[in-house]
Amino acid sequence: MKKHVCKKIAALLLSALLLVTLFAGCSNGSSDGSGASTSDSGKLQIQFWHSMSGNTQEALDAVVAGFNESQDQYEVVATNQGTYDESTGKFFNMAGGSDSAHIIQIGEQNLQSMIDSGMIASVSDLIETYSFDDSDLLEQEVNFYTVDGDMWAMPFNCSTPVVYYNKTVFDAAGVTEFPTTFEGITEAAQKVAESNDSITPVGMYAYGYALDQMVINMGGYVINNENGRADRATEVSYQDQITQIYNWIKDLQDQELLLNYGSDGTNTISGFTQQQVGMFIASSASCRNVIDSSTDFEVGVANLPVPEGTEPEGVYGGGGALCVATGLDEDVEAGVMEFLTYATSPEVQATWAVSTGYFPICNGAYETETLTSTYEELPQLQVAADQLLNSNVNSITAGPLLSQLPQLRTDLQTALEAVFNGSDVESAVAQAVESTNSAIASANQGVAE
Amino acid sequence: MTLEKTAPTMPQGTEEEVVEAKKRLPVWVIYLLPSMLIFILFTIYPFVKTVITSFFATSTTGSLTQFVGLQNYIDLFTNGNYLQSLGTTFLYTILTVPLTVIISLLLAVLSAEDRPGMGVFRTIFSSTMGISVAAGSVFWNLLFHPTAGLLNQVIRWFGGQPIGWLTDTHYAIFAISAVSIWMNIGFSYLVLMGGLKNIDDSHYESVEIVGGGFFYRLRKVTIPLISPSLFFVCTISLINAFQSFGLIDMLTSGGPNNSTNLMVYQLYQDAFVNFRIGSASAQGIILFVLIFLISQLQTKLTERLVTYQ
Repeated sequence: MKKHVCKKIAALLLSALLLVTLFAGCSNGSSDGSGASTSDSGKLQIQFWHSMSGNTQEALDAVVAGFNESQDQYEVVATNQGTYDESTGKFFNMAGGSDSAHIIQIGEQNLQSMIDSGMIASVSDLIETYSFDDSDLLEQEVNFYTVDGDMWAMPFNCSTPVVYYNKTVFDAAGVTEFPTTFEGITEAAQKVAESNDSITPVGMYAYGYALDQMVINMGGYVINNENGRADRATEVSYQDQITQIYNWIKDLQDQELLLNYGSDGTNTISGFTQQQVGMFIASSASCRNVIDSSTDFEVGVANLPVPEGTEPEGVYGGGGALCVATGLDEDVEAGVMEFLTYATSPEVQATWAVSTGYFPICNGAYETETLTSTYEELPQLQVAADQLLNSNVNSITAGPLLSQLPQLRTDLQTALEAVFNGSDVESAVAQAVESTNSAIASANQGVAE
Repeated sequence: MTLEKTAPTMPQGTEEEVVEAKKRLPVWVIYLLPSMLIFILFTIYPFVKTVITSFFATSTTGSLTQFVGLQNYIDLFTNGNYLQSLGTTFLYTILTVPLTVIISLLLAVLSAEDRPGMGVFRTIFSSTMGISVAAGSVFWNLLFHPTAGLLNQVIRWFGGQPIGWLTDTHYAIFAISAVSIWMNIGFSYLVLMGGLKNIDDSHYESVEIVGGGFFYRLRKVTIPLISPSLFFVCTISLINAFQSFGLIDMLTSGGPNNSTNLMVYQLYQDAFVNFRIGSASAQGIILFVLIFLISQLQTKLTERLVTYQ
């Protein structure tokens, strides 16, 4: 009896296996490996995965539509694939299958993972093959996306964290020049608190990207081995700077000058636009949106602050960039490069910048009429760009290169939330350091040598 | 197991007939094949693969690079954050499951009687079933907003101190639990209502003859008779609680300070944000074992209490 059962199960498994291989055969048959397909109009289709939503998605669609109309050989198909991290995960899971992306937009935190995956082509190589003119790209941007002399992603949508403040309220409190230091902001916040009791001077949410940029701005490496640029990073090295940042925040909170919004950026922005808080720190990408929604007061934008006596080092060129999948057909690859040429051209970059809050990644765009007239009208938009353009170019402002950058930021956020909730700075930082370091160790173990 | 059960129903006849029947491919195999195939493809295979992956260090794309034995498991059980997320998950389960079941049972009992206008209440009580987690979260996020939220405005109007519903470590897990209870009541209510409607009126008539009151009726008739539905609702709620993800992702991202970082959210983060697939697989297996053990325990403990008519 038992023997029969075994046989039957074996037979069942075998037939199932047979069917599975059959299915696998089918799917292999319909794909042509490279994923080249043509649209109804006979144009060669290029799959472009991105993570832009809302207003920015509309702006991006306009860029893509502009490219599709500009020539009749290629058709770029833009698809939103969720956040940068989600989209990157899907790209890995597709493992180069027929529907996978030819161009994928990544956030700076995905760069190391992308390089490690071996699934993206070196943009430097493509630049050489297709004689792409890269001389006009911002050096700060190139600095971030270049690893060991190879640029791995084409900068596209650049942003840096900035301070947003309610100019009307700060002016009324007698603060006409927005401070550039922690101490200065604390003092200004006290003045606002004295002059206006319906508003909390500082609103803040735990935002990992802003925190690691602040470390860079204070001249610190976020991770060891020169931000992971000299060699693969093995541990964090932000302790001194982050402790100062948290102490400043804790001090603001102890003086009841700060209101925390947890880790919710959207709530922070709505708190600001409804004049419940006087300032906050967020990515410049929301700049346009914040200005447009703040109808009752004037919005000011300022550089990230540093402690008194520290010279700001500058920030790294964060935001998004475009990676190109490896192993594409030659004609697809040529189309991809044509799109990259179009998307990074001055006029396109200028239009893209003024309709979002990102700023252009090529020098030429800053001289276009589109941009200069908008910057004249809304000088706030220019602040983030200037913050990057005035940054030093060195290994510190090359920015952190780490596959566990999302984890590092989560841990920094968690630590800040602990501080918000009364924990002492030292133990909060220690916990973040430990958590990130063990994540880095476990991730490094899995890197194929 | 399956065969032993089917054995008695096999053709009874002369010995040759039986041998003949055994030689043929049993019909049940053909009937089962499609579902077995899907089951193997989408459950067994991924499960086996997950078990294997959990013993490896993985690259960012999830390929296995180095066998590490139990290291992933050991790392998890020595990691303060993970242990905390285990604890939080238990707390969350204890906060949500009993209350969900009790509240929906009460609502079901109250609205079971056929009176005019009862349909309106039934619709309201079961309406959260029709709300997606995403929509519900957005709605509650507005209510919980630290400064502009309705809840804090009400508190301020009464002269109280506003509460950081989702930003204060002391409140966040309770706020999340409340939303979760609100969301899950719809389904539990509907199932329990179905159970209540199946109870024959004669039972209640007997109670009336005996002269028992509302609570006597509830304790002696209603609850025993809907115990299968209750048991079902408890089990499903329990498993759902352990697998909660949407609310956390939408409302708190596991914060503040990890106070709402449930196991599945942590797993998602490690698998799809940090790309540490090996560790995430180990977490998946731990979660599976945990849910398996707890539902077994629950079955053992409550089996005696469930009566089938």
